[in-house]
Amino acid sequence: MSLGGLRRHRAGPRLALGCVSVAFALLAWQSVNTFHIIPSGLLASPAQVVAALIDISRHGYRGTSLGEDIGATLLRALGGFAVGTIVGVPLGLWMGMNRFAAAGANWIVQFLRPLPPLSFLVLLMLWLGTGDVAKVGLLALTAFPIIASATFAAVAAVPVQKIQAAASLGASRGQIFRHVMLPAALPTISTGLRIALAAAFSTVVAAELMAGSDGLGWMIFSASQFLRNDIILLGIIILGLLGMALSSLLLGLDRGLIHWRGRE
Amino acid sequence: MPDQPLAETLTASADAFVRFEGVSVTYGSGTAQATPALSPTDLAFARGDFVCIVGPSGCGKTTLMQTLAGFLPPTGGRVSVGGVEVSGPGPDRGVVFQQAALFPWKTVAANAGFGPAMRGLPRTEQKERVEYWLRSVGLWDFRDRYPYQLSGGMQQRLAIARALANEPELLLMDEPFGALDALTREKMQEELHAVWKRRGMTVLFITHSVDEAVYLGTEVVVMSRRPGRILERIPAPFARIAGERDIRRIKAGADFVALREQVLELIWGEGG
Ligand SMILES: Nc1ncnc2c1ncn2[C@@H]1O[C@H](COP(=O)(O)OP(=O)(O)OP(=O)(O)O)[C@@H](O)[C@H]1O
Ligand SMILES: [Mg+2]
Repeated sequence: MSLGGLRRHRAGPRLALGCVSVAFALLAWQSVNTFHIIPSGLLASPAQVVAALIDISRHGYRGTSLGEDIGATLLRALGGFAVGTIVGVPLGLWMGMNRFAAAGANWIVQFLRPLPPLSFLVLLMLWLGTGDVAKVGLLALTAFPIIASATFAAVAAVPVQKIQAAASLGASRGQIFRHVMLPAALPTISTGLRIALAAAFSTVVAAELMAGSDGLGWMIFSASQFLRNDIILLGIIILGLLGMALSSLLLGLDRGLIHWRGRE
Repeated sequence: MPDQPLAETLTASADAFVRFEGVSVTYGSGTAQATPALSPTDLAFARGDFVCIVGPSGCGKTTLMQTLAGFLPPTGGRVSVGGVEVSGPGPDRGVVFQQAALFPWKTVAANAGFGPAMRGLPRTEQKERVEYWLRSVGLWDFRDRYPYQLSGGMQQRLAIARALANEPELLLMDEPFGALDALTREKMQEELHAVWKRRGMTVLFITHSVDEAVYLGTEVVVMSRRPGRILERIPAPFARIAGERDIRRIKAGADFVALREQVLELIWGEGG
């Protein structure tokens, strides 16, 4: 196999393989039901989940429509992600350009980064209430250290020769930043953004589990109290699909815009 | 340096354009891993010279060039260009690196025009220069591509065009043809020579190829092993041959071969 083959996969077989594995998972799920491997009271069948989907999209779930729940979850995740980006990218850039900024901010960022976000959700709820402000704040706190670290690392890894080349061609510091540092760092920053969005998305559900009256996380938590495992499964599937859609959206932007990724 | 009379006289002479005075470099000085890379070095040359530096690997050639480019402040001594001490990189000194160091997010044309664009030259002049230099290195047809769509040799030609489009007085080249095949390499040597003849800029050129150094240089500077110092400076006549040149004829000539062997012997003496 050529080395190029390690990276490139043709779209046709990839699509087929994906479909096969999904079909296989659905089949396995159906068999678990058909052969009562797990009691049907604990695991709804695919048909029951589809029925739940039809029911909820017609009548909503406990006063909120499915669209509202999806919208609420998406808005929170994207809101927190946006705030995290607006704070994290400039901070990371500043840290990468300025040794004092790096020394000053890095410990705080590295302290925040591995913390499970839910550990400070309680504090945030005490300060900001149980509404959206606390949740968006929590997600921003989740995304921001990831984004700042990635951006910092990206800027620090810009090849010094490219900077020297620009300087010896007469570029000013500002021009070097804009025309060399930023585009050279962009691939790594973009990867950081994708990881941060995934983190924010998985945290939003947890946050909605703990407090709230709408959103997919809330729907799942509420359904668990009524032992409606068809709705729980439905919520999980919608969440998974949304997460996939978001990350492939960012990936598509990355592939479309950052054509120089991985190339010299 | 007492054992370098030629350097002495040129250093003292008034027409020196580039001047290294007692320039030494020790990497990580003051630490346990202090590496002396360059012994105190005096070297001066005139405007329009084409100075080729050869010497064993790791002897400090790149280090010497970096002090002139302004990327590396010397540990001791001073470097000056046209009487002004070097304190950082600037557009008067174009640099071509061994690895092309292009900007893959910009097109070939934008790479070539980077210097003029950053310096805010009038748009028409930017365009003229890009076209002129891309045509001279044979990349005009590739102007809308990206650098990663070019072969290694084409990338190197683009790096040279990018440096030349800025029309620097001084061109610093660090093994620019090191990665090229023999044929492309000789073509590039001819192109570079033609450009130098036409524009008369001053060139400092590092190479591992003695053949290349003797062919291109008005002078060949041989350096010792690390920490490098200048062993000998040998004037070379071939760059100044007037009129039509035939690269193969010149390189096969007896006087060319003799000079090449003289330089090779010096390097062999260094065990490099
Ligand atoms: N950044 C650095 N830190 C520490 N030591 C260095 C550094 N750069 C170079 N050196 C050392 O300085 C010496 C001279 O390096 P330099 O790159 O100038 O050699 P060179 O003559 O250009 O070699 P080559 O022909 O292989 O390119 C080398 O022995 C190297 O180990
Ligand atoms: Mg070198």
